[in-house]
Amino acid sequence: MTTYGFDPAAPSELQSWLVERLAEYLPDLGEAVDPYRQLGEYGLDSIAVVAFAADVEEQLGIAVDPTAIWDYPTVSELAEYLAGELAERRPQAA
Amino acid sequence: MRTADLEARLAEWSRPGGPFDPAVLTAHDETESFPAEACAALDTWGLPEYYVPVRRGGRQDRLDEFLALLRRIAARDLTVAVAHGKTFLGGVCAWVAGEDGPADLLARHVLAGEPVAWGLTEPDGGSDLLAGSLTATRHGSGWHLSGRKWPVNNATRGNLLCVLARTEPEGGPRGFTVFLIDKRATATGTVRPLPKMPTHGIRGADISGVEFHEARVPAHALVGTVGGGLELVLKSLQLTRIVCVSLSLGAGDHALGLLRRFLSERRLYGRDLADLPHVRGTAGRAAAHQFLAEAVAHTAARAAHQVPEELSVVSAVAKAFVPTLVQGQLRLIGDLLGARGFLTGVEGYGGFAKLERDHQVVPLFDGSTWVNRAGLAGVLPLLRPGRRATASVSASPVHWLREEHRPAPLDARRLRLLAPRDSVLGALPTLVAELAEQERTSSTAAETASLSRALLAAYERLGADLKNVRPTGGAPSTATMRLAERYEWCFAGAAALALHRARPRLHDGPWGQDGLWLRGCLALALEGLGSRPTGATQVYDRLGTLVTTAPDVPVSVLDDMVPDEPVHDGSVEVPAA
Repeated sequence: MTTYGFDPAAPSELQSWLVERLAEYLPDLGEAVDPYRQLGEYGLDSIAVVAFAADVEEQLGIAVDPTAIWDYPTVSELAEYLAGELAERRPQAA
Repeated sequence: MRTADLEARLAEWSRPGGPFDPAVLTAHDETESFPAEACAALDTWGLPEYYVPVRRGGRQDRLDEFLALLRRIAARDLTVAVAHGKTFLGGVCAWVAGEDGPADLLARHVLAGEPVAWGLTEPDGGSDLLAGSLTATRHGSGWHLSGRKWPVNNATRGNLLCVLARTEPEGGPRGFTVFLIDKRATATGTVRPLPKMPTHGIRGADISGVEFHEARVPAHALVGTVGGGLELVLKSLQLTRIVCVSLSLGAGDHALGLLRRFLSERRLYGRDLADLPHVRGTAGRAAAHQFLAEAVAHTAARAAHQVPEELSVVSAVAKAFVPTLVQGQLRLIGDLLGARGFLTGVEGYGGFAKLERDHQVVPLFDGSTWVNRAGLAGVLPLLRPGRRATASVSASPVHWLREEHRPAPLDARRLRLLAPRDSVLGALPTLVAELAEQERTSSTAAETASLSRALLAAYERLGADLKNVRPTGGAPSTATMRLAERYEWCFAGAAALALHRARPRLHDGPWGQDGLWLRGCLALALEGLGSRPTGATQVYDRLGTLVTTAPDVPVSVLDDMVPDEPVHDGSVEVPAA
């Protein structure tokens, strides 16, 4: 059973968590990740996207295809999508 | 027995004056002309049917068989295998996209003998697919294409070309789309060939390019979805990268054949060359390279059917590892051949210099060794041993590597850009434990068990080193790339162990007795991982003795003579009226 240090169903908490995770993939970025900016603008290449997707997948315990990050290319959009996915999973987990 | 049949035909065609006559193929190489006779012979034999899946009317239903066929051709002439085999690459996007319209149309063309090219790279773009600037813009119901694809195998000779085009001005992962272009259906002057490039190897192949000027293509040229091109190409590459390694296996077969002939003919200091321990050891090492390459290639081909969701890792390992391994094998054989490997046209040995030149393109095809290794390096932290749940029994390679196992049909819908696990390395601890149970039965069993334990220890050390690695963007550091290389060697050793476990036949016979071939593979993998396993010298010596004294025993642990029977998928066959 996956446990979180935050409420994953709340997009705002999920969003701050994603911003923190993402910072680890961008060690040279001297500023906080803007949740409304396209991830492509941060120079996150296709290899990093795959690694990031795997990381998120493992932390949240749901399948996250790297293409989800292509289709929801900002942290804000991604958080909303993931919250939806998690909510769908909840009845099963209960 | 289609593989056996092809081999018999190839032997026939290789006679003087035949389409595969080495003299004819050497002449093509020298004049940089296309080996048209050999390709025509393959068309007549029916090779195009193997480029088309069974459900589209072709005969392609298992990748291991296709690898075996292409390997046979590559063992005769690598240029021909490259020149003909590109249609597999050109077609794969349409099969993976899976839409009936374009796939059935393409199937009809391919079955009629039309070659298909695959245009991904562009001038100045390298392997970076997102850098592509060939653009498709909507025009009425269809599209207008402008830009260049170069270098592309068969760009000039082929009428059909599958290309990745930019469909969003800003590009990005959803900004590219795949199109299948029929050059004959475009307006005059809008599609121009770019000249064939002189190349170091595969000199007869049509390595050229194509340029589009507002070329109008119809709506049905679209393959997959608008914006889905990058995903489609990345998934297709998972299959083509596995197919590419068969070219390396064929090059190894060809080189080992020349080596055997040389060792049987050449005498030095009044003795057979093979009487010299150094020569035997090197020949044995070359054989071990071939076995390890086979284990990885065959495991990857079966994995495509059984664990397609893991192919992003499996295909990257196979494509980074096998061509590099065979390159090393060719160096060993070249050392033994000495001047005969260097001179051209001497008593038939000139073929070595050509195959060595030809093979140098294989590490570059479909993503270079660096590109594949970097892809693996990027996800390494997630493949750390114990980080993910191990696969179920049915996902274990021991299950799906059994000789009699009939692979499930390829299901492209199961391909993923991110592998959830690696079942091959996941099986390593169990495989090693099983060998340990046997170790009291003989001294060689004890040696095999000890080598396998050393491999597991190396894998665990890799796991410990991976704990400190964080996934990051950008090009991986050299240190991370070295970790990826270690991962490849561990994977290769695990594949050999799984193959050995799955096939009782490989516990016997000239190579299998005392687990000889397996010990050769494990010793080689451990050397690749930086250790000097005890007993390796004796193992290579024994393998080398077999290479020289049993010339009729193929240097192979695969029995590629797959029975040519219909697919048993439970469906009822209705006889034709």
